[in-house]
Amino acid sequence: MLPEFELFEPRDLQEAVALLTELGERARPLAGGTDLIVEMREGRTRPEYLVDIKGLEELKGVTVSGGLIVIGALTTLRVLERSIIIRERLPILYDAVSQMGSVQIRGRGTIGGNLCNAHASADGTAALLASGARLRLHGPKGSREIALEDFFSSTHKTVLNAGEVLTHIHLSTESHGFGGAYSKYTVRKAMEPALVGVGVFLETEQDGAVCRAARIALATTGPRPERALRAEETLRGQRLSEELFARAGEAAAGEANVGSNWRTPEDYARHLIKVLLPEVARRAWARARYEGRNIS
Amino acid sequence: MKERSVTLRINGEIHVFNHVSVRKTLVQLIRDEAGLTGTKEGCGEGDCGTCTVLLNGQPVNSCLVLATEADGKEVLTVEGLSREWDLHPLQQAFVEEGAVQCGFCIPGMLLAAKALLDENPSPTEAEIRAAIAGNLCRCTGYVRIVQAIKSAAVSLSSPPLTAATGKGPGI
Repeated sequence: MLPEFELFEPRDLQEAVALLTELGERARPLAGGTDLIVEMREGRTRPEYLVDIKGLEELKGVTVSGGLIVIGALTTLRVLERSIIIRERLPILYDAVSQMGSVQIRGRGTIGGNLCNAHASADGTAALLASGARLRLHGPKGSREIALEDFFSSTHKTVLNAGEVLTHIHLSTESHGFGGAYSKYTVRKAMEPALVGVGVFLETEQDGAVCRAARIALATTGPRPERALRAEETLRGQRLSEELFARAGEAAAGEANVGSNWRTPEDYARHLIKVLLPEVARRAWARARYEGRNIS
Repeated sequence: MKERSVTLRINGEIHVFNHVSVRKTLVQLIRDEAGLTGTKEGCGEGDCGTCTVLLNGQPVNSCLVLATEADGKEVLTVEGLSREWDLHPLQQAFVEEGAVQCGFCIPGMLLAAKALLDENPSPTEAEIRAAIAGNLCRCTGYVRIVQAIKSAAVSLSSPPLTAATGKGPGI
């Protein structure tokens, strides 16, 4: 049996926000439960109340409207993996979610949970960070929208206020000359969190020859999900090449805020970033050139 | 709430449980309340997959699902695969290929495999391996399990042999 708690099952977003506001820090929202139930079982967290938000249908699914790809926070990783919209328009996110956990875990775990747990090694978070995602939040004082990169405040913490819920993730549908890819290094092929993960998103021009701007995100053992800004600067405005990707890999390996843990000593983590980044950038580049082709 | 009644269909049969604690997980409900002990609880953390059941047709780690969530839903456990003594083609294939050693992982393995074949009747070996990546077996090395799922896919997708075709198995 799980430790003592009381369960609430709100039927809509308003009710969920009201409950979470009233119960404050003694409550945790329950989405897929693939992290929270495990933490409760191990005694790492002991919420007095669980607010099960799985019934909020308005927070599920992937749609395209008004120049945006809109992903509901309660969309499961499995639904994203199988979504044609994600495969065709945001393959970097497909790269990330299709390699997470098992079919069973992906069927339960949600992309919103992946973001809100704020683990630095979360694959979905790194892919969305590289993609330039924006988040829609709803709380007792109404809605607001922020950039994903402003969402994480400190280790395993987000800027969500009391009672505030992540409802949707927004991404641009703009794709001409754009391409992104994500890859993680693991010892096994499945069921393993990233030792290091790298997401690269390139905005190119001149038929993919030149990088207008780049976003690079790292999934690491560091304190929080982060961008590799110096590596991005290495690529900006430059003619893309293997040598340039190697330089970006070295820059990211140098600037990454990684610590040592039992799975990845710091120097190993830096080495992995250095070798993984050029490989991921090459795939992002190939996709950008495909999206940049002139169809006449 | 701290407890509530749960009505669900397990292997086609409706069960009503009163006063189910919200602290109970689905695997505990299946084993302790419904008495169906074919489903095993291994790690209790979603790593080993031995508690895999189908919840409304989707494979889940029943150790990570609150029992109360199954209210109004349909659960398929390993006991629901066979009809009396007629084994499900997957079970038959596991027997014929010698895919079972200690057997502890097999209930979960069968349901993960069923979920795969339900949506992808002729999977590649890579697809089979991806589908059972969340089901650990410490005996077999997986080779015969993968082989059994392949052979079940073939027998499930070939049309049943009837006397009318005149091509029944030559016994």
